[in-house]
Amino acid sequence: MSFPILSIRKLNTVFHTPSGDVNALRDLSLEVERGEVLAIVGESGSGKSTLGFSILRLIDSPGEIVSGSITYHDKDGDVSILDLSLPKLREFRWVNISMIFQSAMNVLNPVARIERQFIDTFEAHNLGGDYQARIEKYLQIAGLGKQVKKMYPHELSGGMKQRVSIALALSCEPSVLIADEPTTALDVVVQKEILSSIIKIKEELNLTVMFITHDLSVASSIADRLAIFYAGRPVEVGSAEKLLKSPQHPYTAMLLSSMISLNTNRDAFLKTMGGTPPDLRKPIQGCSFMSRCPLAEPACGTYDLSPGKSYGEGYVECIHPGRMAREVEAVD
Amino acid sequence: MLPELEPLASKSLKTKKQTDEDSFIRGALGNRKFLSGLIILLAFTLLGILGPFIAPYSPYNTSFQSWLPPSSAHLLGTDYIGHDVYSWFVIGTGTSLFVGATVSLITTFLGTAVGLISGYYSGAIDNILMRTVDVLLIIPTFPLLVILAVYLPPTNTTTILILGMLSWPFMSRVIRSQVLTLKERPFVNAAKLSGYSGSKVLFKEIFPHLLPLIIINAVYVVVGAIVAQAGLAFFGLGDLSSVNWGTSLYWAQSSDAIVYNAWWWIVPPGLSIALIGIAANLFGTGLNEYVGQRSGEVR
Amino acid sequence: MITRKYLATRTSYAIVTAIIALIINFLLPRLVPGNPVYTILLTKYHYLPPNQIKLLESQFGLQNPSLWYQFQRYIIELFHGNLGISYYYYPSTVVNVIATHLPWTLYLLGTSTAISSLIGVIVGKYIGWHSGTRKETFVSALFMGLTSIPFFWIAVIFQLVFALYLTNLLPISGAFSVTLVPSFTAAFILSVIKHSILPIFTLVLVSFPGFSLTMRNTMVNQNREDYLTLAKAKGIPERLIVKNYAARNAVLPVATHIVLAFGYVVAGAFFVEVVFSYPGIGDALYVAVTSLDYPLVDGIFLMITLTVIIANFISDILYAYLDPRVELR
Repeated sequence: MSFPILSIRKLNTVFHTPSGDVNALRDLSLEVERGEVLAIVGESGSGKSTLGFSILRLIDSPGEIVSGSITYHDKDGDVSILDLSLPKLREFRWVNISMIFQSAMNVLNPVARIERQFIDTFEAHNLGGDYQARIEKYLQIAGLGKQVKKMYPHELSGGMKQRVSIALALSCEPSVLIADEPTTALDVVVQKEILSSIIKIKEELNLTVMFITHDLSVASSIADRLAIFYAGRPVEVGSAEKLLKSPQHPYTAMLLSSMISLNTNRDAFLKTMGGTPPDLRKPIQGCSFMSRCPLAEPACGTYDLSPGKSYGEGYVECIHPGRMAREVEAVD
Repeated sequence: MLPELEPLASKSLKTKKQTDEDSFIRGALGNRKFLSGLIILLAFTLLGILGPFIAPYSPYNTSFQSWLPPSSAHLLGTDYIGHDVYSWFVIGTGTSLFVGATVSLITTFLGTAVGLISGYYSGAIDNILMRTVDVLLIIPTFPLLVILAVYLPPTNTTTILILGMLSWPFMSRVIRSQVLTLKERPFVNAAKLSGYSGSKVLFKEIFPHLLPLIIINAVYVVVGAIVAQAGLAFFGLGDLSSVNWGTSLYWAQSSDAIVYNAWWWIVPPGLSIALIGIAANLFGTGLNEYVGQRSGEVR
Repeated sequence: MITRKYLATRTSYAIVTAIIALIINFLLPRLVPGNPVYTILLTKYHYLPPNQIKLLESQFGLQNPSLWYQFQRYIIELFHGNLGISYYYYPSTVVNVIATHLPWTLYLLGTSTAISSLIGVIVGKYIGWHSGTRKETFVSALFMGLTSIPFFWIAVIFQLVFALYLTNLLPISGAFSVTLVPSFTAAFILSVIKHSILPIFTLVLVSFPGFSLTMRNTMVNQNREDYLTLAKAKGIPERLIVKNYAARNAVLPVATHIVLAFGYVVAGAFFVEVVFSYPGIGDALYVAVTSLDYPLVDGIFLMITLTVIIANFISDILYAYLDPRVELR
């Protein structure tokens, strides 16, 4: 039995560029379970950030969500996010789903005090109550003192700015928090602190967290489930434990082997990781990983992605699941 | 054996640099804006150099009838006391460009020197130089130009010196900020670590990277100086007997050329100034775009 | 944010610059060989009785040759609002001449700056929106060309066109019809407006492209700002995003442009006044320069320079108030 809070079906997001449309998300389907930490892992260009932006409908021109659906399962019924009118969408954002952005340095309005950036959010959603107490509460949760309220963004360090944006993301008590590489711009020590505070907050506030990262080790340290993205689709989804122990997709296996194994033979596998992801401006037939996969065979080129075998518990997009992992073990 | 190695190494370095420069220039020429700007600028330079040779008459010859419209004898007609306007124009091109180029030399030298020193040796020197520049930048240029030109002897040399002295502060700021960013680049640090002296780092490592910026600014200053000189002349300042675009416009204005509909006298110098301004902008934007592309910066 | 240190630096800059301007203004005339009273007045009157010369010398503050004494006198006179007597407009004082010419210049400058910043912002927004298209590249190139044309040449061309081809459509010289006496009558005001159309149009034509390009760059950079995305994600209404996030941050570069272009536009106005014989400060300066009216040149230099220094100082303070990051620069 699963109780998803977000269901994404056959989502297609494209970016219109002078050299053609880039299909950033290709028929993407995914479920986010209530109360879990789902890590979206992929290299840059795999569509992981585009997914985060698509969920909040923040895709701006030249990008466009062309088709598909995103359903938010609220306590009082389902909300189809892509069908919301603009005023409804505005009301929906942040109080249900909020987001922490990658670029902590630039997300805060440089000419307004920190408290102002909280208050305008509260006012936008007609939240009642004591604003000052609320700001202090969430600043404290994010590990900041209340003196930060009166400060301007340029007076804060990078880590503090990211903490402010975490506090901002929590301040309207959303059910889902999308964290888009929230620690990449920060140094390692601050990264650790931020990660552990996100986990702590998640437990305290009963949040669902969608954690977007390119770093499998970070993902595996905090996630309940992992979704491995490649060329605009998840190629493997499963519980973190199972997926790390026995990866089914060759790509996952290769990512894992490059991460964990310190044995010499991993070089052979790393070498095969060379090459580039497919050109997303062109339609892709069959398996998208084929061009980089050491196990590729003609049948991969006709592998049919369309049937509804998506999402849910344990999903893999490969005609010979698990084989790669077995071969890695054999080599070791 | 060892002493021989060094010149060899530096020689091979030099040839590599040479080819780098060749490919740089060839690549820049591929930029359409840069190319068209360059062509216009070169055309004017050529006109300026050839001016005295292609002018049919002396610019001081006043033996012709006044206010003659363009004809085959006088390509651009004659002015109020019977100068041949075409001769005056082509010879004036040389003077105007000469004034612009000399001012640009002074400005570029001072601006680059101050910018380099101030940017590279931060601390007290930087502080003193930049405070000075700040103060100089606040004083409005035009009134200062006017008052200096009023009191100093009205010659082209005065004009050149005044303009040169007034335009370097801005350039030094531009150069300085670029030096500040270059200073943090890995190759500069590497050079410092390998034991290069300060001045060697400055000239061997930083200066070559500043060249496009310096060239762009130098070209802008040429145009700025031509416009400023013309402006001063138009205001009746500077050497009004000098043959150039500015004095041309001054005499046209003060002798009511408009009343005589002498467009042939008014249009060429003004249009040339405008054209050379557009060319400088194209040249600068094009070179900037190209340099930006090369270093992969999104500007 | 305005800190004491920022205020102190800016104030000291303004004061140092003002002192430099005063010194230039004091020293330059005195470095020139010869006594201007003799050179100018004698060419004007050919012969003056000695007691008259003595009187004039004391009027122009030239009877004591000690530089230090003269400097003291110069400063004292300055603080009494006395900039000397104009040669050309004798016996009018320089302050008087400036006072009668200044309103016309202020009128030209104020109106043209208002119009060109308005047009500039609108056009800049438009081309910023279409940034990267062929149309935008063309318009930007055209604007860059427009900004490189000298003010006075455009003015001359307009005058030529309106004098000879569009005759009697618009007046091409003066500030009002010579048949009218200045008064608050409809006829007079109408005449003033009609006479100012060409000068203002010239100024607008050459200065609005600069505004447009600044606005365009601001727009293009703004579209990439992450704080706008965050504001949208937070569910802030569009109207408030524009007001509190986008506009406030966009105002800064445009304001900077106005300040930076101030000197340029003032100079432009002077040229335009000369061409259209418009009786503003530029026209007075032109008269002063061509008739070697040294006190008037000095006075106008001092007035403009001090005005620009003060304007700069005020804008620095306003800027710091609008942009909290400013003290870090």
